[in-house]
Amino acid sequence: MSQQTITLKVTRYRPEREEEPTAQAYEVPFNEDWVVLDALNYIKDQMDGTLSYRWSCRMGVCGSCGMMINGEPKLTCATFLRDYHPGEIRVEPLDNFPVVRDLVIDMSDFLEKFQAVKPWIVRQEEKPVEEGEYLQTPDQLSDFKQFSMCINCMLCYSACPVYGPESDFIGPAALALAHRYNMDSRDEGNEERQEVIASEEGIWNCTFVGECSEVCPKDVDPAAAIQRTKVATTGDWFKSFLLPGSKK
Amino acid sequence: MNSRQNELEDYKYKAYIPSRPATWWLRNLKYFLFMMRELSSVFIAAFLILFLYELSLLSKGSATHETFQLSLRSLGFIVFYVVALAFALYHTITWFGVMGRIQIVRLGNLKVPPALVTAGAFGGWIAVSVLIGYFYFKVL
Amino acid sequence: MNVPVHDVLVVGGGGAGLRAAIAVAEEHENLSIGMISKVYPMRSHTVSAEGGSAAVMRDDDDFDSHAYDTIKGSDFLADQDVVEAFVKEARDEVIQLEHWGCPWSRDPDGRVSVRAFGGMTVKRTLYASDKTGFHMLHALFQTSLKYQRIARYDEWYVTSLIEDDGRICGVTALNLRSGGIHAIPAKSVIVCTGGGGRIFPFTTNAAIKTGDGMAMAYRVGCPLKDMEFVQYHPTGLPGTGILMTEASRGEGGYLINNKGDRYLSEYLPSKMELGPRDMVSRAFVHEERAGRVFEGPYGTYVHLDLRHLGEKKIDERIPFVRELTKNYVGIDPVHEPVPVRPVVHYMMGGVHTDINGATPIPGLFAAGETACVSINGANRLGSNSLSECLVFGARAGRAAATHASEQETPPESVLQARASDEEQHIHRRFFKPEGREKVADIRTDLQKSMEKGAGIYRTEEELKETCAQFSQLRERYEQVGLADHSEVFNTELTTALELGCMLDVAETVANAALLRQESRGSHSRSDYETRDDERFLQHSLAYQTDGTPRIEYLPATITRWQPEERKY
Repeated sequence: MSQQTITLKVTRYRPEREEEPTAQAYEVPFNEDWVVLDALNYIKDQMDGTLSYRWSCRMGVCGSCGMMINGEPKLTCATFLRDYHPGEIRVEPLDNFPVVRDLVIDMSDFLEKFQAVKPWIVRQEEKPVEEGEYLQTPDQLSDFKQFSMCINCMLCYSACPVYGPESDFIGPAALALAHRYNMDSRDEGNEERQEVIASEEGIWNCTFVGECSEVCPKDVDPAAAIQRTKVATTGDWFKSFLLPGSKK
Repeated sequence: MNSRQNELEDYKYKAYIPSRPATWWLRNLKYFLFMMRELSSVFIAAFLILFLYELSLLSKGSATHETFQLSLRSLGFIVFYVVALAFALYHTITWFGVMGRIQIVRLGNLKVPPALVTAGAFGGWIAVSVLIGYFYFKVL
Repeated sequence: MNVPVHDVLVVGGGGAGLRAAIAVAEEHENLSIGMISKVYPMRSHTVSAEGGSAAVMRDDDDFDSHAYDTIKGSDFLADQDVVEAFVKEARDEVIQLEHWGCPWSRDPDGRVSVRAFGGMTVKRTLYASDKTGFHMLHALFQTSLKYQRIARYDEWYVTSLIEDDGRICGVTALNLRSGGIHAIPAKSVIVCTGGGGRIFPFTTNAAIKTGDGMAMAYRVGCPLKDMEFVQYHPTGLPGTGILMTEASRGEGGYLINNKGDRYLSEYLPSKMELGPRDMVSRAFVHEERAGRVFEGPYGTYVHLDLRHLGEKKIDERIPFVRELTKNYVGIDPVHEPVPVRPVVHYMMGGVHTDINGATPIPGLFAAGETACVSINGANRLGSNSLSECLVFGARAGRAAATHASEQETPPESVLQARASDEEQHIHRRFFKPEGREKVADIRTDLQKSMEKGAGIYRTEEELKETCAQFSQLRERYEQVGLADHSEVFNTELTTALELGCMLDVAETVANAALLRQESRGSHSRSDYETRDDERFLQHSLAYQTDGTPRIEYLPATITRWQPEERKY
């Protein structure tokens, strides 16, 4: 049986030579077990060494290989060729981000926002390590566990119509991570995070399109995290009127 | 921010900034449905304004109110009300559908699964509708 | 361009690197810290670790027990003084990480849980379901963001260490975004770049594990220790090599041959599936030779049977395993057994360091998989590596900080000269108009050669053949010409540079293996089947020369545990 093939239409962008990205077609061997990443590696190794893209773990845990596949943000290491064969596959850089080169986007904006929500344990007083762990029941762990599964792949930012290359919106993953810490029984940083999260650029910029949760490969459900934060923040706001003396 | 990578050099070549067309929401079904959900609030708001106007007419006497009520039987208004009802139903159903994810409901130590929360919302809606219907048809 | 002088520069942003940077930031308010990584830190390979991190936590456990398990697991090659220090510090490190937000799985009473693991006589492996490395890395990275003083250079590829007057005073690095090569001055450098599993064709390791740091240290005269010891993890998915965590066996999974038998009863009657990895992997080879394995499109395999654990336990303790098998082999472990075979996973060997992560080269430190301290000796026990990253990452950080406070500022002229030399060298070397060889072809041939000669079972003949191939591979490497001459994000250039590192690292592995005429831990010689404590209770030290590496030996440090027969 002759080798079946499949065509990939891949975005190329070489800033030294061109103003805008263009598409280049590559015909690669088709294999039942191959993912889009395998096809890209084949192109780079055998056909065109000039193709640049990010990848590392190939098992869906490092978050490097997010790209648009036929217009949908996906991890190329978890997207199988067989789901598109014999049709063509369009491979483009993640939407809503500036394109540095070919399929590589600039994620510095994401990192800035990620850091801005203070994604670390904030406490008034630290318990000395000698005294052991902070006790946390499995139930308390399950309150935030789901939101800690984010691999920072940024597919949610691509799917979000509010976020864009020049938008101030903090974005789904960063807000979900803030929620993860707010819900962690060991953390006391809720108030500290409010300024950034409960701002115009934070949760209130979200119009609950819900696409972020749809595309998330790890079921983090950032949309739920943001809406819950909205409820909690609103509740706190009311409480600050009606019960001015009480702490959060 | 800790990352210094962009501070130390002026990059000779700027990154390409993609543009977003105004018709972005026609790109896929889910974006389209989202816009419809947003649009539903316009119709719901318009309905409420009409309803409040109608109520305000009651204070001006039953004659004025009756005239207005009759005018509502025109084709234009009927179409509007049907469309508004469809949008209101769409909005309500999608809203109930996500309720379980937005608000975690606890009964004692147990977290109520989202599907049950949604079922509860629908159940409550039906119950209230039946009550109002009973009140309207039997009592009034 | 004005690059600040860093007191401590950490190369590599994984578990060990982040821990080192945080240790310096916490304890020294006035030191400048740099962290340089060829990928964003959360992409580091630590993220793929699954099973857990070991420490003495419970009343039924004690330091001597953990130490003995580790030393026996290492086939008595580990340095016992280092192991004793390690087991004492592991607990504080995992608790510190818990304080920093790591979501360890919990017992009903709220304490962190521990699970059973290979080679451990007591349950002492902490875990965060079965994505322990992921949660640890993210907890460390997110915590590192608290310290504004940690200056990060993300996606900068370090090409060499800069030496002046016998000490390391910085690095040359390629800024991937701009293509420029810069010298980054530092009073001490900690190399935490992980291992080099990608020198083999079938590995759990990510693309980035190409032994860069090991090669860099090697090239400035630092010896690489115990390189011949390469760990095969018994359970990887055929074809992709994706890791099926040892925790699947720790929670009670069975390894079954094609006769339906738990074949480990023949080789490891006591520990069975929880024996040390080298022995479990060798058992597979024996089964293969006896024809008791399954045949598949990606080679032979056995079954990892998890069905008897039940859906609830699988979803609670090893959910990631279920996700991976469903996605990549279309099998639900709740209903069907999973095909697995041994896969290259970890390098026990690495940059020779002392108990504080200091190498023989002043100013150069190393920690994590890159380093060989050695606590793992000839074979590592599962869940010791994550703890090792924390313990020795912190130690190396502190030692580097102390060293840095005693140093003068590195001379700028030397650094500038090195940077421009490096830039010219790289351009001349790789941007030739007529390059005949492709990086991928040389890489594939290297991998095939290593698999053949330096696999689970090795012979003198095959090792000699592999060792001889290096001169040819290097000649071909000289002929590499890149198609991509771009300055912006040139990943063809980085893969070419990585190949150079892989060649250096692989050569030390093959040569050290050739000279070790015994079988110990994960190094199994079909022609020298027994352990030879008289000649080889020593670490091999590989030094770079103009030709083949020069191998010297250093006796292992024995304190309280005399070598004995290793039976499980």
